[in-house]
Amino acid sequence: MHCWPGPFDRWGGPAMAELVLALETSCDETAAAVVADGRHVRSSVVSSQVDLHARFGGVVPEIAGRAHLEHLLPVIDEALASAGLNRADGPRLAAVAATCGPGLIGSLLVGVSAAKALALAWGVPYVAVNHLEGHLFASLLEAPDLEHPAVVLLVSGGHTLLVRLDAPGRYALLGGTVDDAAGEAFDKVARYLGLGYPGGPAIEAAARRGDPAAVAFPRPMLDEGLSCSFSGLKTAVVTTVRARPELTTEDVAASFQAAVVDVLVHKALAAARAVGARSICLAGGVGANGPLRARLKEAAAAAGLATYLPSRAMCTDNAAMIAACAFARLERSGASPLDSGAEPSMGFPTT
Amino acid sequence: MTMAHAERGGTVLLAIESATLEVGAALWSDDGLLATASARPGRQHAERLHPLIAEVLDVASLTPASIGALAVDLGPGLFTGLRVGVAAAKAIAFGLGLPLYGLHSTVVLQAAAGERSGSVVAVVDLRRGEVAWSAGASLERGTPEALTAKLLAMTPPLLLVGDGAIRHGAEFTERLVGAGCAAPEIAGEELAAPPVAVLARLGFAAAERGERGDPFALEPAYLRDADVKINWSTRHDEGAAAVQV
Ligand SMILES: [Zn+2]
Repeated sequence: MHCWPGPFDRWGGPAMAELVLALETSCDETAAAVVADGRHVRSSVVSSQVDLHARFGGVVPEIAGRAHLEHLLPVIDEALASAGLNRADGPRLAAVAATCGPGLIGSLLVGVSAAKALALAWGVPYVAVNHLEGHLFASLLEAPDLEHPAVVLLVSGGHTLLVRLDAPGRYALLGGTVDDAAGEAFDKVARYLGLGYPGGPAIEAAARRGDPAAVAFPRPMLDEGLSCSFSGLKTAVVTTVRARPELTTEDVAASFQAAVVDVLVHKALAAARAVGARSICLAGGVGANGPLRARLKEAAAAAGLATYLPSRAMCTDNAAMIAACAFARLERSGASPLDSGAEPSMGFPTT
Repeated sequence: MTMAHAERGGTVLLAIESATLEVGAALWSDDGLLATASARPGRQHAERLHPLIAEVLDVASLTPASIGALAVDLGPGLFTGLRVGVAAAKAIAFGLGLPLYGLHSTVVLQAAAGERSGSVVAVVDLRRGEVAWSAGASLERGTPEALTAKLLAMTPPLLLVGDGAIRHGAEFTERLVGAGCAAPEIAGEELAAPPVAVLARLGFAAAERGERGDPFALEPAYLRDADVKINWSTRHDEGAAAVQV
């Protein structure tokens, strides 16, 4: 179990701080966090199942659901303890929240059921949170002075989205992938190249020893608005490897990564120009990719834009961002009913 | 035990059922059943369970602070429904610092059939041509054929209860009669799913015996390894393909 930013002493802050406990179980991470006033992370605990799924080369839904249930109480217990709280403080919480979608239904329901049950037991509101909206709050937690409007490039195994952020809780969807998500392309190509799972870190590691100019992979839909596509690129990798067996895996990985990064950086800057953004943020697991971070920072600086690159722990799935989002939701639209469930294919929320 | 029921002098147990096609909640005390509520929600276990818990508390004019122990159906049953119930039960037990007792659905079904001569066998449908059953204290899994072989050796008269008994009842009868045995009695729909009030009674007895009931240690009885169908869209879409009940 990984705990970030580390245990707090028994919390002695102002008694009026509004504490939210959130659970995040949408995919293969069981996470719980306590956030004060929607912006101060008191604890953020993430128990990753990556080792359980690695040998299958992808997330196995039923294995994920079982692991969530197994890790549920230890993770909640740790999140409360690291925040200097225990279960007896439950009734003092402003809310208990959980990710209700999008994600794997069998995984989502573990967090939703537990969060609703805790809220009922403690007599506090339950707040259902859209995972994609949650990711947008990660930047707010680490960079509260972010200049708006900002463009958020949200890239992970399941989504590739460009979002205009006007203020916390006010945003619009600008574009996204028309097929595979960027992280999904990394996973599939890594699997094809025999580099293992998860694909992002595996490709990044191999690419360090390769030449990004070895193969000129296509940059699909580069100048076609704010949508992108990665499935053609994945096919191009397969075709190229078959046609040129002399290429090293490292060179293919480096060239593939360069193409993905090129497309993402290009699209993010195009989005920033289109909406007159003052800054660009990264979010999602692919946001931990080194070359993507470096290239985005460089390109944004050249365009006179500020960049905000969250820590790796904030890029990847965590419950702190869900708690921050829940706090804003609670203020804006109140509690969610106890008869609410989970929605596996929930889209990006409109505001 | 919290002050509220310590003052009243007895434990109130909350039972949670969502392992099969039915979801429900019940409260049991020294005075017996205080309240029970259940529904057949299709796949909407998570939507229906929590309001039913609130409903039984409301009917009994109690608050969550009055609960002194919990019981939950550990299955075997439908994987997703099972997890919804166990997650809720674990969370309430953790949140209020209470013991949680897990009982198998087949044990609850057997108890629901009551005392009688001969043999009572609880049969739960596991889908894909398999059933789980309890006769006495055992819990086994196999094909209906495998169960038939066991039924032939049991003391008659036989009473079969549970959704698996209903689904495969004709087959059991045919094979037993074919082998020269008496036809088993197949219980009706009222014993298709484990009644939550019986789960509450059995859980209450475990609490009275002072069993430990550690909510951290509790694990569902899946009885079957996970399907290793990979969800290629690893993160957040393709929810429908990932549905496993
Ligand atoms: Zn995510």
